[in-house]
Amino acid sequence: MKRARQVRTPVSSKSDAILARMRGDTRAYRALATILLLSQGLLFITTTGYDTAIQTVWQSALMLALPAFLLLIVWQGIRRGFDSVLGKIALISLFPNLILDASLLLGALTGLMTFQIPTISYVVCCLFISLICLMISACGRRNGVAYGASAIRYVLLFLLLLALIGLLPDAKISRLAPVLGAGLWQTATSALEGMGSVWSVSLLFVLPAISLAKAEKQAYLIKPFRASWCYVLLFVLLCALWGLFYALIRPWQPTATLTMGERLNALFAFNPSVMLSEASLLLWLLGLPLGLSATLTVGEKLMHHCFDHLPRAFCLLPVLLPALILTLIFQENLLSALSPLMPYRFAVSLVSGILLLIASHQEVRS
Amino acid sequence: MSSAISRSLLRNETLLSDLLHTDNNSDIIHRSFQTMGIDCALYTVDGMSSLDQIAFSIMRPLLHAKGTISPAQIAQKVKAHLIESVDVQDVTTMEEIITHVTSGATILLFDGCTTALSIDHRAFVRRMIGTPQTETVVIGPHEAFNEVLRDNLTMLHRRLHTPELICEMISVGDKIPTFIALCYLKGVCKNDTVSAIKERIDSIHVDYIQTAGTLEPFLEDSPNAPLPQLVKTERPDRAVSFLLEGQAVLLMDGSPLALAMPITLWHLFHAPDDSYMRWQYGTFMRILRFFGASLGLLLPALFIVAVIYHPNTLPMTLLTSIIQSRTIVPISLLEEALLMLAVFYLINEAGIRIPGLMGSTLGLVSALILGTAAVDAGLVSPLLIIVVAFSGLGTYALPSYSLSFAFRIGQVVLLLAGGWFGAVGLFSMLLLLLCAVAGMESLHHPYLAPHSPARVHNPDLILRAPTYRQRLRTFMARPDEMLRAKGRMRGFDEGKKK
Repeated sequence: MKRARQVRTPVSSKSDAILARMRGDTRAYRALATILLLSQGLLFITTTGYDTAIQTVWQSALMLALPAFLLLIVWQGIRRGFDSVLGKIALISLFPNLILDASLLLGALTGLMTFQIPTISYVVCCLFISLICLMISACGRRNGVAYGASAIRYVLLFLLLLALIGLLPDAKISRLAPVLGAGLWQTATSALEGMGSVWSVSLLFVLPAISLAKAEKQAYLIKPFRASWCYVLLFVLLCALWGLFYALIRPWQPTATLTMGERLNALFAFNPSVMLSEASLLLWLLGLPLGLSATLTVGEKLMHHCFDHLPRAFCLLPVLLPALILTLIFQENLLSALSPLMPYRFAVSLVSGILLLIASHQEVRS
Repeated sequence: MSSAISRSLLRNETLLSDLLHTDNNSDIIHRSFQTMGIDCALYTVDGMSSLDQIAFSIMRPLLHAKGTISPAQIAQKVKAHLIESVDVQDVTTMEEIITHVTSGATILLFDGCTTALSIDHRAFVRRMIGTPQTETVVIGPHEAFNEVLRDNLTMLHRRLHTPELICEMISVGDKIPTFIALCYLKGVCKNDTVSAIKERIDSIHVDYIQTAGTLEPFLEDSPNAPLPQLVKTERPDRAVSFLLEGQAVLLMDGSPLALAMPITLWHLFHAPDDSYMRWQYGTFMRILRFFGASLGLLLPALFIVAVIYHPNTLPMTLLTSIIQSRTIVPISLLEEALLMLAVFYLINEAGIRIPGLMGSTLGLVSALILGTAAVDAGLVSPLLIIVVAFSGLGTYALPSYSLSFAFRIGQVVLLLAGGWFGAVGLFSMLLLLLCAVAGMESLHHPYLAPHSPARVHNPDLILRAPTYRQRLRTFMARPDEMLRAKGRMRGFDEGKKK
């Protein structure tokens, strides 16, 4: 009868309590970051990767996800540069990426909604989702979105695994060939479009540092809890699995004529189990709004960090409003309209990363 | 009004008769007499104190006292040698006199002396200690708080035999004060918690606060949120468990409820007898309760979304039966669900307001007769009645009355979102509620902690481990007092091993 150790991290002093609190917040933000990465990743694979990589989207998924490891190391190293002017400029320069991310998520969710309820117009759906996501980010106050996402992390993981398991009976190994699809180069270039999204949202892994008080920030910088790679690994694995199953289930066919809603539903249209396909749909229904709200939250936190005199609710608008306008202008053609811009997200993130590295280096030296 | 007591008894009497309205107010007893050659006056409120005790412990010794004494020393002499009461306090201002008299104490004033004496012989009509009305348990104590602050504090002291139990008296109300006892275990409750509560109480500016329910919004972090941010309990054992966990408890004169804070959402899911039963039963009940809460919140909305927007998710036989039963219903499914929920809430409200046994009879009559009649008349479909009844039962399974109200509001909000905007509307709204709740705080502690964000905690959220595995207090306690016990909590296990 061994029943002594049920407490892994007993808190015995005030500093322990502060560390435990920071550890909890960091975990919540990591969960949010993973969910956002997954939403972006799965969306990219489902809507773009399938067409551009020609069938073998799992390689595309891997190429999308692998840079996240590199990114994580970079972001961990640049946290000291957030407070300098150069750092703030670098953070603001990420906004175009966030706007593109937000418009993709908004477009996907609106497409899904109009596909399910054709009686409601695209504009109404788009406005409703924007309003709800704005309210999620605003009502969540300081950390509500991260805590909320963290509360349902296992539900989302369960739904994703359920969706993957549910697809197993329909998977055909013969569809795996050719293993490298249209070739390594084409796969890599197709993944480039998705890579950009990973850059800006992976910032969430270090985002708690922005909102911490000064004393806590010092402690955070000293002890950064370097276990984020587990979350990124999970993201890579799940993205690759999703891509693999996508390739194994669907016989390849061009989907350019399909709407966003049809594309999101396409994978499960083959599934004979209604409940499983509905469970998979639930994954989109929870993941996409949470992803959009998380993108808005990233924008709000960056904006508030750079211009702290601005009210918080206003800080949500610089990302949401342009995204909403883009979605309303292009509507169903959003994906094709934004596709040429997608690869440049990578460049923008790279410039921002380099600026932050310089700022961080200057901060360390000073 | 904060004026010192005058040396002239006549002036004091005039002022007091003016302040206490003794000409019109027949409840105020004013007796003038002499002791040791000095004029005295006694004030008390009829019915608030024991006249017999006043006669025996105050009047008789004073009237029989012999000798002479200087007026300046009489108060101390009377207090030290004559009055046969335990609780005697010096009072120096008119404001204090008014407060003491109106709260039931007896005031003695002396001519030539600027100090009055307040003698506690309070004895008023009170409700006896009864059984809890809203927190009944099968196993466990059956005592409940009553409306008398002193009785309630006694019940806490009787359970916690420790000098570390601190009860600080604070008065609230600008015009008419009400006494609040702030109770906490010194060394276990964080100083920040105590000072934050005191600060919030001190900052209250209102003429009068009658009950704990009225006090609640003055103390909460988010008073506009539908979810309560403190636990109201009428059980002394539950109040004690909060104290032991490092939380503070507020008791208010005139209210049979204790307010415990800070809390998390999980406290509202816990029932008192979870801890009194075997851990397996407690865990089972909590899972059931959690399932009931989810059912209560989501079932009507899920039903509407499934039938209207995703009929393919339902088995064909069930779908056929729903469509058949709806052929004669003249209103839409959403309107039908809203109507049913409104009727359900109405029956519930009427059942509470109608006195005694009539209430339960009305509930039964309404459920049986109205339900059958509504189906026969083609106003509602039978399946929807089952859905609404299930969801209603789910909300009733919640141990917190306030929480069940919040869930009912959430139920309607989700129903509307699902009915108008389908699954996207339903789940987006669910996320909105979740994130709004996750962002809430109770005295600066996250509302969904220790689950989200993660904090150190006992295995006692939904699943409940045995008591001997619950080694920690809540994360809201003082960090250095977090561990409740060092070493094995079942010490004899060590002996067995040897």
